[in-house]
Amino acid sequence: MTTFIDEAFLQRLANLRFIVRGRRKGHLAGLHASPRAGVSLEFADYRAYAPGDDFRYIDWNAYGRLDRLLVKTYVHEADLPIYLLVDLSASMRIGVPSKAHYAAHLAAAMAYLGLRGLDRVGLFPFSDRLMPGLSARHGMGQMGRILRLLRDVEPTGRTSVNQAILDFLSQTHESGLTIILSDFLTGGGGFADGLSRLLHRRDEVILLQILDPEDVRPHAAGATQLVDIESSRQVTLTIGQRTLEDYKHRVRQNRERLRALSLERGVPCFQTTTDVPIERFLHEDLRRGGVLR
Amino acid sequence: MTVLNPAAFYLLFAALGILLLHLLRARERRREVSALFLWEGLPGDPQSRAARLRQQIDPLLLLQLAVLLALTTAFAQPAWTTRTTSLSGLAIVLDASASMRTVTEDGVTRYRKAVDEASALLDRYPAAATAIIQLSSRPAILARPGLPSPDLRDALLRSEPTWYADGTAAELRSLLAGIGGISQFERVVWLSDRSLVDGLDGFETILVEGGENLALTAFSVRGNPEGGGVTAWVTATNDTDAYRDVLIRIEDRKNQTTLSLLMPPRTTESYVIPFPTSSGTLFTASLVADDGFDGDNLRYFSLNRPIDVRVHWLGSESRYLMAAIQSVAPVTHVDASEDADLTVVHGTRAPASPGGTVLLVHAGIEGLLTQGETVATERITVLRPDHPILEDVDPTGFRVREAPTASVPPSTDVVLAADGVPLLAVYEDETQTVLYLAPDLLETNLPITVDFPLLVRNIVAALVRVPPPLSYRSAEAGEPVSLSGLGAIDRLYDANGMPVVLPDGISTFRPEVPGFHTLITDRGAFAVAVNVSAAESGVRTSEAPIATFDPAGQTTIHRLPLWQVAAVLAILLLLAEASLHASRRAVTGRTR
Repeated sequence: MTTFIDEAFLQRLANLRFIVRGRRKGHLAGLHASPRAGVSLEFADYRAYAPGDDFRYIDWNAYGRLDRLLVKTYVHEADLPIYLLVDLSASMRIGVPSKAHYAAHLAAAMAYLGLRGLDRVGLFPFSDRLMPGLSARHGMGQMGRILRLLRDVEPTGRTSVNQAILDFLSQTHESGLTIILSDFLTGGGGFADGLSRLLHRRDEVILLQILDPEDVRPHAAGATQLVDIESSRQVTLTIGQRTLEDYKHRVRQNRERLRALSLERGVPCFQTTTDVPIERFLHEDLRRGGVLR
Repeated sequence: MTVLNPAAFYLLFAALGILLLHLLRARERRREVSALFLWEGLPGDPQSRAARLRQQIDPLLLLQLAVLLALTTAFAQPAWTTRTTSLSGLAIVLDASASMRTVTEDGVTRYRKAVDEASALLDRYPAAATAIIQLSSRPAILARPGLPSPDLRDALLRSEPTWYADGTAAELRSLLAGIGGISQFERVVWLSDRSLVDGLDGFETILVEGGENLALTAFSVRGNPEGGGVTAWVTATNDTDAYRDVLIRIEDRKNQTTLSLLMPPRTTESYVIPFPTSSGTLFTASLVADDGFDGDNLRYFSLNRPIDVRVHWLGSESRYLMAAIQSVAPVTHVDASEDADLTVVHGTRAPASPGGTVLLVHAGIEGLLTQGETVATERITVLRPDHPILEDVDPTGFRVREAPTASVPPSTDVVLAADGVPLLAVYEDETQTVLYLAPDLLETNLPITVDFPLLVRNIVAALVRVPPPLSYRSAEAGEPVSLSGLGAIDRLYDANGMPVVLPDGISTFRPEVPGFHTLITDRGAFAVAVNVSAAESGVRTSEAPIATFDPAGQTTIHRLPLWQVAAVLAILLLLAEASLHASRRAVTGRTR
């Protein structure tokens, strides 16, 4: 996989940050809100002064108005492990640029955002199982490792999101923000089980479905031998307008099922195609969807 | 449109390879998909004929073939060729000699065909830069540069060929120099049934072909020595590729004689035709045959006698001398020396010089040339062997027994002498020319030698300067004919009876048409026979050396190369093909 991150691209992401909906417990100070009130720039609440409180946090303006000593409390900002699960199965080879390329590009961008927010970022490529990945770490040195891994891994094998999640859960024990990037075109069983286990571990989960335009709107015509890129199974079909409409209908159903699952579990799900610029996807879809700010 | 590298079209054979590859690929039209389960179970569409056709005609194949075609075209180096002829000058030189009157198989003369060719040239050149010239033995300028277009064309269309002989390149060059020189013309076109054999560099020759010819190329008549009738000499030419029956007719305006012949192709033969019944002096020979050029089927001959020599005789008669003079020219005796062409003094001493031209034979002139005592002479010495009087004469055979001594003027030119005695001498001053023959003819062997008439002929010619007789050589149309020596010219008529005006003091004219011209002088009427030049009868375009000149020197060829257009088109098509190919590979997932 070629290098796909350049300096200018990263600079354009400088004003983006992850938003974590729940208070996360973290080991180190970070930029995400922690359940423990603490010292930061973000105001949280007032409470009555109690002996032993730091005088610096008494709100003297409120005392002037209310004649009560109130102490300002602030949101304690803590770091957050961000896990990037990137689908690099054979089906991700489809398209120009390929879905794998697009997913890798997107994962790299999100890793940068996480590391820049002083979070720990881990990368876990998968196909029908979890491939050797990178556990969550701080620092820009991790960025280089992530890029090298994304560059070196070739998309291959079948897709099993469920098995990948199970492998992931067995390898990581700390909950965090888990972002799954895949085409989610799994013919066999879904990944509801794996998703439930993730949520049970109190992970915040984001699903990013990446499809090729030809996956959504194919242009094939005539008698065609269709070959599954993962299983090499073949089907010969005379493709016409009606067949294409039927296919698109099936794709819509598949995407609807994914959205329904995400709604049901309260998990944000974003769907894109590789012809949508990554920056636009980050700035518009993910920002508007409350993942980034 | 010109293709500079046609061999490049062999590249088109590569299309066979492309087609073959497509046929092989078409056998496995595969498409890789991300998820086959989305396709499984879908009912296929019945394929329409149009859809099948679209499937067979792969746009990718069409694009690849188009790329190949565009590349091939680029390698072939196509160029848009335009020829622009320089407009700075055109000289049209029309051959106007008599042979251009030959009627071709198209029913028009060679000259008219040449005019048509010239007219076509006029359409491409501005009139202001065009000159039209007629070339013959008398070249003429029909139109100079600067003439308005209608006048130029009118001059060309109204022009007619002459009866003259061929002109020469030198004459043409001279004529062109008269209108500014050849350098002002970028293109000089020579329209003729022959090339200019002595050629001019840079000429472009357009040969006008067609027509066949039979001709009389020579004709003369001699009176029979025995006095009855004449004999004609005729040369006939069959310049065709077939045996031809011809009839040669000789006429003298009263009588005629004929000779029927079968002439082999491409032959020239001479015939002697007796004409014993003739009593005339003007003869016409005609060749009765069907050919394209009838101007040389007629030839004319005039048997005019030379003009009489007027002689004033002093002294005793001499039959030998008189016979010798009469053998040179008819003699008319006159009484006064003023009216004479020649004064002959024989055997006496003239009291004073008669003036003019004087022949002294054994005689003298008082005060000028006097004879002394007669002395015996033995050996004759030739003092002036190259003197015109001795032309064709061998004086070594002369024998002179005795001759008188003589006192001659110092400037006398002594031609023959014997033992110091002048035998033959010439004296000339401003008023007279005197020829002195010293011995008494009876004391010599001169009258019985064959050289004596020759000597007298030379003497008379030297003294009288009798013009060469017109009899045994006919004139040619366009060639200068001298009329001097025939007396004071009164009138001259051409062959059609039209008067010919001669400027004062000019005794030479150029006959324009063949036939008998009539000259009237104070000495009578003389006929001048004028014929077409024999050289005009032998003109066959197929035999003429063809001088071809590359007109590229006058024509500028502009080539606008178009290979860049084809190359750009090929690149665009290649990009389109690559784009389509990439999109298909993206669809099938083969490209990463």
